[in-house]
Amino acid sequence: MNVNMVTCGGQATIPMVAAASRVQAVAYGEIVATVSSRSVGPGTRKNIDEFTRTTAGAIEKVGGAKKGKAIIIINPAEPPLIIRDTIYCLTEGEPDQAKMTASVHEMIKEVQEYVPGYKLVNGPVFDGKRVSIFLEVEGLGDYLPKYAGNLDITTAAAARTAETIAEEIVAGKLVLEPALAA
Amino acid sequence: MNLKEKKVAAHDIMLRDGMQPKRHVMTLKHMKDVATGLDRAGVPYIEVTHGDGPGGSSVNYGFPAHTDEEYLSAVVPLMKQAKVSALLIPGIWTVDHLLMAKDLGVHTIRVATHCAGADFSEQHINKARSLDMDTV
Repeated sequence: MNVNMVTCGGQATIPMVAAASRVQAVAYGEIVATVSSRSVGPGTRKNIDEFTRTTAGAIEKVGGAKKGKAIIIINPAEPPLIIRDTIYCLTEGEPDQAKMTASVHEMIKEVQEYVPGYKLVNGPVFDGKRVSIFLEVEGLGDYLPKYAGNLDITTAAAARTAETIAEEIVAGKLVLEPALAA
Repeated sequence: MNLKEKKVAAHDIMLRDGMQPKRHVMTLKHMKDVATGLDRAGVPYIEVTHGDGPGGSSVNYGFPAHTDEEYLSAVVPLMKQAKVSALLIPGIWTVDHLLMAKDLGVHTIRVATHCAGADFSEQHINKARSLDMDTV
């Protein structure tokens, strides 16, 4: 089984798009991921187009927005800044503020189970049909520096995915077949 | 400074960066009027589109009055001598925007990054060059 972890920006933001779209229809979801230059390796640098497209695609397919848009900003500041993410959702109808806020807070808790440094900094802020959510992701700092939460979140998400698959195998819900690597 | 034997080319970015103070809502007529004026004045390069380049249309940077396709399609066919350029910022635009710009007759691609992140532009510079576009 091959599992795609999307991108670090996607791991951080798509749960928020999903938190909005499970309350009501989201016509447009946009995310802005700001990461420190030092935490971005040569792979991302050579494939930034794939980062932008994959994240935008997953905002639609996984997040549930009808149209997705991703913007990545690589910040060269020294000392390096912690990863910050902004999520904008344009809802089809007027947003149900109470339900939307509760859904966002619930989802934050859910992600914190595997990414303890996942933090809501501000929002959800409502302005007409626009819902804005502001996050930061602090890494554990046990090997990589704390500002590189973008690297930690992908590792944590992969471990979480593997655990979920393992739980299903143990429960007899999933049987993996041997396959050659693609 | 000795400019002897040096060639200086003016590159007017009013119809791209100038979109910022206009909140990206310039009309097509305004865009065409300014572009044809610059063309008549002999300006060799004119940059057109959303203030943050193709793909800039967003909550973050602002939604323009017209799409990049509409602005470029309005201006490019009117140019008698000027070449039209587009500013492409890795992380905002994708290769789709580049192919769109090429199709609409954009001549020059300016790829922009922070000076500390020049290696983010490799993929897009190579792609634009492979399409035979003037790439800077």
